[in-house]
Amino acid sequence: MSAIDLMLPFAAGAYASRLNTNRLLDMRTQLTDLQRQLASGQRAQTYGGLGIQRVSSLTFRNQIGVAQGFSDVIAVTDTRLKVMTQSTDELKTLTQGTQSVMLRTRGTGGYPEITSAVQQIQAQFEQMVSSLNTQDGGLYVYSGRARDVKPVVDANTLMLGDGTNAGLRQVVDERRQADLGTGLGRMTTSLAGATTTLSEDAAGNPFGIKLVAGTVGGGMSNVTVTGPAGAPSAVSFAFTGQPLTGERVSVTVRLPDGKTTNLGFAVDTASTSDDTVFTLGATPALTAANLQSAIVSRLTSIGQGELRSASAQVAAQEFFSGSNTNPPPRVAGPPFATATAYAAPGTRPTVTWYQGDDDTTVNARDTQKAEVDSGTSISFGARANETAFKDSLIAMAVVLSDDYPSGVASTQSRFDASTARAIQLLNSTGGPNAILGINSDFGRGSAQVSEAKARHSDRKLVLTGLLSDIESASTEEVAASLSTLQTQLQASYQVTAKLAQLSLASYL
Amino acid sequence: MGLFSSLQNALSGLSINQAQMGLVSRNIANAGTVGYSRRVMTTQETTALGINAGAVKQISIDRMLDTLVQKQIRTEAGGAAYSATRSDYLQRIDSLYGQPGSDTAITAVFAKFSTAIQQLAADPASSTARQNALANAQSLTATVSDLADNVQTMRGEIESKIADQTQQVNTLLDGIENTTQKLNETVDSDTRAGLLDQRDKYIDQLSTFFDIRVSDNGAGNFNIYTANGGPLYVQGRNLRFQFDERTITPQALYNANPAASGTGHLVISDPVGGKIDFNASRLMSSGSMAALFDLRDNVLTQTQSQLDDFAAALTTSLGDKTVSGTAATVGAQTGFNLDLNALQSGNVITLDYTQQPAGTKQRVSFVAVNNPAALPLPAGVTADPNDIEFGIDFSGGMAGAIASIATQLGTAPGGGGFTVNNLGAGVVQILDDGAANTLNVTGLSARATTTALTGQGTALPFFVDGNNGSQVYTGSYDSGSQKVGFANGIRINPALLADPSRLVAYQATTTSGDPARPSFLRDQIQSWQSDFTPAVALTGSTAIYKGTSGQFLDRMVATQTQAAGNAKSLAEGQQVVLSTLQARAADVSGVKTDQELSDLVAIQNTYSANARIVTAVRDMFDALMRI
Repeated sequence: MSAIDLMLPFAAGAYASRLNTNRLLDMRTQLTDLQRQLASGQRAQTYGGLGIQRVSSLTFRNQIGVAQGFSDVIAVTDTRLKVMTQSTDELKTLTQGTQSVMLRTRGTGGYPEITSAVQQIQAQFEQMVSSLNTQDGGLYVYSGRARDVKPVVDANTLMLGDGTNAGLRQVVDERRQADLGTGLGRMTTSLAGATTTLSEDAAGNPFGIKLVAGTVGGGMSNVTVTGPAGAPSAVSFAFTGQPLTGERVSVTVRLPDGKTTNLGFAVDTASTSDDTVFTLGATPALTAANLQSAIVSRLTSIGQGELRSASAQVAAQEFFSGSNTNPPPRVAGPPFATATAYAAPGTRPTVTWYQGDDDTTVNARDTQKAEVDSGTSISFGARANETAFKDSLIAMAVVLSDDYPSGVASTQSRFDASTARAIQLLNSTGGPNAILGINSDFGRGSAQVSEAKARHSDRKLVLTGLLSDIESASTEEVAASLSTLQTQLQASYQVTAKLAQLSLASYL
Repeated sequence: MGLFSSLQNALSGLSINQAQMGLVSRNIANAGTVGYSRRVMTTQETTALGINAGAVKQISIDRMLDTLVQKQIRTEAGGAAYSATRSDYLQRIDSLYGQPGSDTAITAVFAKFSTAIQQLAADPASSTARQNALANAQSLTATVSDLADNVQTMRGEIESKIADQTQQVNTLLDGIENTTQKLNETVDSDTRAGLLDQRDKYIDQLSTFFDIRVSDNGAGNFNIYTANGGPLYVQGRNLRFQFDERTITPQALYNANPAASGTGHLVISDPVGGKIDFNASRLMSSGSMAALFDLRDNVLTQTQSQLDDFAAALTTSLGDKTVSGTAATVGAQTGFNLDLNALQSGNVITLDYTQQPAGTKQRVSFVAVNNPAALPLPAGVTADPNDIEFGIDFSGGMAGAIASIATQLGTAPGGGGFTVNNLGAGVVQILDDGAANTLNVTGLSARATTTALTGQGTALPFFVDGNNGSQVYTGSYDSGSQKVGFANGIRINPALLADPSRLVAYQATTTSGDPARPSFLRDQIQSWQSDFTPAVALTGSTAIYKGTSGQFLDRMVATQTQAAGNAKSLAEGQQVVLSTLQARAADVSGVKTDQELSDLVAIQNTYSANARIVTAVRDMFDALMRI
């Protein structure tokens, strides 16, 4: 509308014809507006032009905006969930592979098989580390909230260290030395008269094999067994006479990883597989000396086999428990073989394998959250140091932290000992099943996201329909109005032209 | 009667016919002249010594005019000009809010900003999401300040339009004065008709500027006043308008005192120094002038306040944090402790209490200021119209501020019962009167503006006041209200633009993917309800309007575009009324060619007849002479 069309003051004589002209112009304006409606499909150019429906229009637009906002969030979330599902699936398959390699090679394999198995596990370990460093949109997905931080250091640094900081192999090696001591797993034996004593080397020493109190089993005539008791804990066998052939006595010890094993000693004949046989001496004192040798021999054998992998396992667990805020415990030393305590935290630089966010007050899943509908949020964060991933890495690392030299008789038993532990881990808190648990978290998220997606697109569809009822010009309606107006305008033009000719002046 | 007299009569007839011809030609020639009203001639038989003499003479030439319709037209013209001017500007505001569905409409821009923050909350570490949030925030601030600038441009345009119209009105007053003077000196009816037409033209024009009432007693006492009694033309006073045009800024507001006013006043004065202030005395109620003043001082000022309110609500919802009071008990007295350290100038401490035993609820708002000159505060600083407001000066330190709280609280209803203690370290304790139980303190809290990007919690000074450097927006009253014109100056915090990671990092140790701050921002945008002043009048009631910034924005757009729609139909209605009246006036005063031409035929015939009589008289004389 033109600003001020007051026609004031006005030419009274020309008023009628001017009014007519204005009416014609009004019709032309209407015609132009209808053409605009037809071309743009929009009923009005401003909210003011929408009439009382404007409030509904604004409200619907607002709601469409909200639904669009959620849809945009869903698009991002959906992609991420797909990445996570795929990546955890990959990790699951990897650990499955590791498991089967170990099972295949255990017990049966000779040196070449072990070498090939170790090589495969090494490759799988590296693959796992690189999978945990997966990125989405240039940002890491397994580092919790610290998404710009690469969560896991590379496999080589992890194993071998970076020159300043010790890697896993060094940590395991030191722990082995600390657990092994002089070869008896930090235990000492002594013989006083006819009494053999087996004792831990120091009270409160966190390393080495430990006696388990109250676990003395079996019995021998004329032998008094005392303990395990005292500090350091000790068990003594006092021979007041000679025991009888076939009699046995046993005591349970605990390896550093918490696994217990029975030390059984039998006179002349073994009655269980745990038993080490010793012979009767000429005197009770000599028999006691034979028992001591049997104990030493048994402990030495444990030290060469079982203890190695137990140390490796516990060292790996300690190493993998480390984070930026919480450095892993390290054996004080060198020398390590005589260490009786951990070094003060942080004093011995160690590679921190996991660099991401380790705020334990926040659930790993909740480190990334998206609101996909009002009040519905999906958690899809993950951390490389979650138990399932960490324990899978530990299982592999236990195997990889040992050497399996050719021509050494104990190679097979070393491999068996470490794979036994690894397989156990892969079957419980680590491995395919544990990772599947995480994988299904993401699967559940995906399902929720799809539902929300459908909900929003339905909502948008309905709202857009409502909005179009308000804002859109109906083509049929506009076309009908257009043709009516056209007819009117044509008629008006004709009449105007005729009337203009009709003047008395023409007839005078 | 002799032949001579017949000849005389015929001759007078011929001369009248000639004059009538002249009139017809004049009417036809002026049919399209603005302000011309059809002239008619009045004739009369001549008389001599009281006896009809038989000849014809011209008495006067008169204008065909319906004075009642003329008066009505003038009244309606004022109304039509008023509504058309209003509608014209409101249409412009309507179009500023954009086309429904357009991406650049302010509601769409806000929705996109909200969506961007939503996405940021879902993926805080993504630099794309961060940049997207900032880009959308930038287009939001640009849109808001552009809107507000447009509002001020319109006010400025109106100010100069008023100055321009003042000149036009003065020219009209000149014209009215001149024609009136000439009219008083002229007796000739034809000349008078011309002068009257001329004067009516001026008055008709004047009627579009003001709602005029013309009084004319016909005896030279001719005056024009506005409906409310403002003199426009008073004979002999030489009244002329003056308008002191000012530079328009959002802070330039009308004040009845011209010295304190930020906008110009329309003053009419006479040469001897008499002055009447048309604004201060409210002498205009219609006409384009009244519409321009109404737009400048009410309509557009209100639009500006609404935009300011929106900008302030958006900024404080993201940048302010709630400081809650902690319950305190001393003996039988109970109340709250509140830490005042985070308060900035303009922040508000809210104290709720009930007076016992009636249970009357009272709310006290203490508004922090940092400049003693800002006190006393203007009324209605907070949105709540029913609260008791006190300004507290913090510039003299905490002890002084707390003492001021104590003193002023004592003046609140039943306030004598309060105990206000300074617990040191910026903590104030407000307790009720314990056993006497004349009042109960039910709540004490404050909203404090965060001033830095980090180290002050998840709230973020996302937007700043760019009117004066880049100040944090606290709603301060230290040098006038910071809110006024904030919509023009709203900008993204430049420090945030320089370091987008602060959208996420709210303290030094925050990890890049920490959703705490983005989620806070999202929740605030989606659900934080701010209080909006009833003066902003969206609800049409005096109740305080609570809503999110987005809801307020929708409401604002709906209300203002509705006002535009209403103004448009009102203007169209007025136009119809005016057109109808003009048609009636044209019926009377308009020259109709057909009528003039048929008059012409009659005149021709009469002329022939008169001429025939002259010939007949000559023939008769000839006959007589031949005798």
